[in-house]
Amino acid sequence: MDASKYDLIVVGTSFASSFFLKKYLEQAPATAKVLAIERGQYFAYPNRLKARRNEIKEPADLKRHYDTYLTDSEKPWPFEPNFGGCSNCWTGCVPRFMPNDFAMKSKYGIGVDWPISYQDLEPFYGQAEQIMAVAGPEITPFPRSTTYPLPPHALSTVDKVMQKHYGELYISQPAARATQAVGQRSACCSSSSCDLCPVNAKFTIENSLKHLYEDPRVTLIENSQVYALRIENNVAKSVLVRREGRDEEFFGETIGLGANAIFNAHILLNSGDTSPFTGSGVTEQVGTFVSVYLDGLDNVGGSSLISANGYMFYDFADRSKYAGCLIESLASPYIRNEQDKWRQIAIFKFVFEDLPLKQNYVAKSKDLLKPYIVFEGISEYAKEGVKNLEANVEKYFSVLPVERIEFDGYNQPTEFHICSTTRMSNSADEGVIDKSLVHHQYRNVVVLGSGSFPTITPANPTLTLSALSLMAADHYF
Amino acid sequence: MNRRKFIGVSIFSVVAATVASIFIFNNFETVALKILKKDLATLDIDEKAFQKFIDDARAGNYWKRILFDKQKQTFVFAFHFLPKIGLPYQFKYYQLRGKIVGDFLMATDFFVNKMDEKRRINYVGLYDPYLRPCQNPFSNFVYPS
Repeated sequence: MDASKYDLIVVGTSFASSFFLKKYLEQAPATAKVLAIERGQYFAYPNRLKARRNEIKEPADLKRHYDTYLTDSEKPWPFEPNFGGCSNCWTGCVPRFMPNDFAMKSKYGIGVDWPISYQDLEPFYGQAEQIMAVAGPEITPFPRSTTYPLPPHALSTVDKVMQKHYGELYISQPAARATQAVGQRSACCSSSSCDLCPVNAKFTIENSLKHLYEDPRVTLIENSQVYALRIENNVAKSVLVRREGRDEEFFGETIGLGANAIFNAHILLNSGDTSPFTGSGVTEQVGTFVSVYLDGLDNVGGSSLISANGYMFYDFADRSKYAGCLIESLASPYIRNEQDKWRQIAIFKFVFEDLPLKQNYVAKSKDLLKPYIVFEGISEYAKEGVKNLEANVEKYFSVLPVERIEFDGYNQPTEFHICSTTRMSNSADEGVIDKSLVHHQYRNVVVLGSGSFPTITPANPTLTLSALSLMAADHYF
Repeated sequence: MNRRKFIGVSIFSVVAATVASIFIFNNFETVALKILKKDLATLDIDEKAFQKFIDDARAGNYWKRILFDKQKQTFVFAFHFLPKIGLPYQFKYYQLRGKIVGDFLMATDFFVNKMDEKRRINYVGLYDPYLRPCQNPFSNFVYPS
């Protein structure tokens, strides 16, 4: 047992923890002591590339998400349980949420309102975009007080037609895929293999924030899984860790949980958290693909994997009846198998919001280290959104020279996001954490990440959870 | 055995032999080869390039790498021999067929030469952004604004 006490213990090294740590270190004294605990290991980017090229094998003990939890549901919950977390495998899509996303109950009678508004988070959105060096357009459907650090990705010929008709509702996707070389990152060259960028253009914790973990005030330990907090009189005294088969304990003044929405909830449950909301409502978006076959228009000139986002039925009049949707325009190399028409095709992904439901939750299992996930299905709200997709596509895509439209007709198994298991609220009767992400009961525990979302949106969660981490650290310290 | 039964058994035997021969003499690779030769018949391509692509894909574990897994391969293989009209998921078969053709063409200089169907098409090598990054032939690099 390490009896020394840390000023701050952060659990995890992905976006949530790293952005929180960054803000903390900016104001912490030189004598501050921080412990960062990572359940996996550091697998450096050059070696990831070598493994992808089959030049080396991945370490046999590299952690895999499917070994970390138990479930009887077919639904997968993929994530990267190693240093840098999902920054190693994400695509780099960073649109902001829309202002109404924070007030779904008031505006649409759906879900609940967040205890914060878009305006509360807006300054931190700007800071997160600076840290990630986001490439984005001048005009967006969400208000901004700052400009994007890098110029936008190029729109394709198809995107340009759409933007001409829909203006600010169809934009170059804000992306953490650099359009110009920045820091250690190259410029994106549209290889469309963003999960592991061949040229390191995408923001990762490794290429942009690894220095935090090399700060003399920070001690990083790897291959160590936090499974519970020791709570005394509603104060978290320490974290309990399984490390190389042994249990260890580390004492801290403040605990920042950034172990993702599944494991944050699991740690709290193992710690004796009896809030009915802890673990409840695990959810993510629902995505499906549509192919639009074009007449005489080659779909070329787009930059990056996803060149544009469409907002035509995201925040719209019928959002009280069915789920809003964010449209992604794919600029990857795909073709239409017809002579003279090889690239007269555009593939779009439609990403629908879902609702956190009680019947979908994270629970304890007999294995102290492995949560049990129950997922019975998506909400009727999301299903109605998908049902209305055909009508909306016929309506909004008629501005293109369409020959025919092909709907995949089935949902993707996952959108690679995990949300809403430790929702924020104004009171403990309605959620787990307050509007600064501090646990309602354990007032020295900050619960970070997308588990804090009381409702989710069609937009990717990473920028928002990163901004929330900056805000939480700003409020707490 | 009466005449009716004899005819029934004979027909069944012929059908069974046909189906068996399909499975014996074909697999995903042979089907992929047939698809390439048929769908690209109008383009000026050395037929050896098709086999080279199939061989390179096998050697480089290509289909697994691009997540064109056994399930999809079996689907394409099975669907290829069935009548196409009126079957469910027919569109999925054509999408996957298009993927095979597209990946072959991505392994040539066809798209780099802006889809010029009059040019001789040369095999270059499997599209692999980890060996040759920045080669998306439809990007703004090739089609600047």
